[in-house]
Amino acid sequence: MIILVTAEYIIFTTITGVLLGTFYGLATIGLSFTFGILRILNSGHGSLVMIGAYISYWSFALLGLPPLISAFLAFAIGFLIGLILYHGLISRVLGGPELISLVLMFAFGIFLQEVAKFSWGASPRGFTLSLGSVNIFGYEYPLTRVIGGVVSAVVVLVLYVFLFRTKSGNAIRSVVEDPEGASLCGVNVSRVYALSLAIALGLTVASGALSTLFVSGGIEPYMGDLYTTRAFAIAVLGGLTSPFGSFLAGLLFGIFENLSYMTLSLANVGNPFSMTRFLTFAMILLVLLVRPQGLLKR
Amino acid sequence: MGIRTHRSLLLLLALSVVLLFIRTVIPETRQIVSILFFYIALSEVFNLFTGLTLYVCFGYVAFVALGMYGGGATIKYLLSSPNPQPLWVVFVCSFAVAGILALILALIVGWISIRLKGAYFAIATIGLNEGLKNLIEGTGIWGGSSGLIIANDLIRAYNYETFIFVTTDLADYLIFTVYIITVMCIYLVTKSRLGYGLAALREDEEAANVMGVNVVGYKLVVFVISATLAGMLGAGKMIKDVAIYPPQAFAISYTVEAIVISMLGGLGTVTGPIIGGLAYGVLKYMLTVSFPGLQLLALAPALMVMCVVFPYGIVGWLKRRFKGGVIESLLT
Repeated sequence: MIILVTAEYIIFTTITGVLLGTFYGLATIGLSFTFGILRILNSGHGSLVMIGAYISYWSFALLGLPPLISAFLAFAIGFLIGLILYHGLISRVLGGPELISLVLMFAFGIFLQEVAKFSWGASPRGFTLSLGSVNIFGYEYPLTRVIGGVVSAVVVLVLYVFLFRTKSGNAIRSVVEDPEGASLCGVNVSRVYALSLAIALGLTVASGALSTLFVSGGIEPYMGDLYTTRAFAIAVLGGLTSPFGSFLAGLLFGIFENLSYMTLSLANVGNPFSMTRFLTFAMILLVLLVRPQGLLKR
Repeated sequence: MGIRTHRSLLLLLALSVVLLFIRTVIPETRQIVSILFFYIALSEVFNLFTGLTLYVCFGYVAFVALGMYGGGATIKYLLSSPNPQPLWVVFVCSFAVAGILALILALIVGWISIRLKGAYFAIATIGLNEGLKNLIEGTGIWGGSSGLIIANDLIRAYNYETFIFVTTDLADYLIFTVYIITVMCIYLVTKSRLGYGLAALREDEEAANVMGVNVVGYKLVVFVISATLAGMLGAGKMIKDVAIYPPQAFAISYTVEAIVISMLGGLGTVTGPIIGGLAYGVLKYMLTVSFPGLQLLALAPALMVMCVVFPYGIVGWLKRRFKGGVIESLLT
């Protein structure tokens, strides 16, 4: 098969890369949020994406809700999980060694995976929601993915407004700067931690619900592992503690992934999919060599 | 330097010898003991870097997998000649190649990423694992996604009895040897100039740097030593498994299990990995036997509770509980 590389095709690939990237960005923001505020590496990140995908699947299968609506439900459930997790476990290990929270979150991730496997089985599930397609520079692209990308971007915008324009947002940012100082100024640090973890997990679970728009099948208990490694890579590209840096890095990651896949398929490389992933990770190492502090930090 | 200073080392060796003894006397325990050996060796190797620097490398399993590939490919190459070398030559070569490959990879990755501090380093190295896996799958080297299998080569070059001996007994002893070498390395490093530098670095990296400790160099040295040993451990595992497939070899769960065992036992302690490894391995095995298929569902909450109860690991907890007694001096 020969695809002629036209300028339109490259633009099309870039635009779809941006749409995919907004989703990647949303799926990573929760990770850098938890790390930036609570100093916790959420090693069970992918399992929460998986839970979101299942929520979206069951809302569609049982209630007929499209993923765009179930994403809100997913956010609410993730928010609740975050609150319970914080008050039940995380608050007890915060004073301990930094790495213990990593083990704890990893165990929590396995727990979610096994609960999913126990209740819904290990075989992959999937559904397709079709709303027609749009024409981008002469190439057809499913409309649902466009909507998914736009919704991800809107959610990130809302988060920005919340962090920079509201009182709770200011409290969160002050805790990031200096927890002790914030506490002296009357900020309830423990409440800020709980709220931040809840928001972060809510966003992650919601991104899982939106993931079904991009990947129609393959909802299974262990699907999250892929998102864990990817989100970690994107987060470090974005500077790890900055949610909006993560979002930008996600965009870059999406564009790079799409363009490199296009080039490699044209060059007839044996396994373009694997090579693309190798190149994205090699790119991250290169970026780190030049800018170890991430993209956005000065 | 009397016997008192080496007490903890003696305890460790005694425990290891007991395990080895159980394995030879009761053949039924062979399988679980060999799994335990691998876990203990893995977390001891991991502990050499992480315990001494408090840096975590998420791509750690890449070194083990590279060692498996390097060792396996060497064995395959040497056995493909019409009159193969004796067994020990083949294995020595495979261990050497595995170690050298891991050393080279560690030098490259370490040179780039070891300047990063703490969690930044941890997350930066996560790409190492995925990158290497996708490189092997993408370019198709070493069998690509269909894996590298050496069972037939071993049977053809020697005979079936030798093959059985190699995979059941010899592989375990080789893994055990790597483990003993690692323990010795940790002991030697902690008692050397390097070890004191690292201790300063653990307490306060910036202060250590100001005081003239070459922090980047010191971190790189232990990282490379630890990665080389991990590669050799991989060569041992390759002889045990006689086959390797990219998805299993690069499973992140190995790295995380190493972290879990080190944390559970007590990070930065020499006795931690063996106690953590025994606790984790036995717990996992018992849960598998009593709730087949549901072992992870039971293991995960148990781990979460352990994190809350023993945030400094079992060894850390014991040390605090029995401060100043004989038990404290036994645990290092």
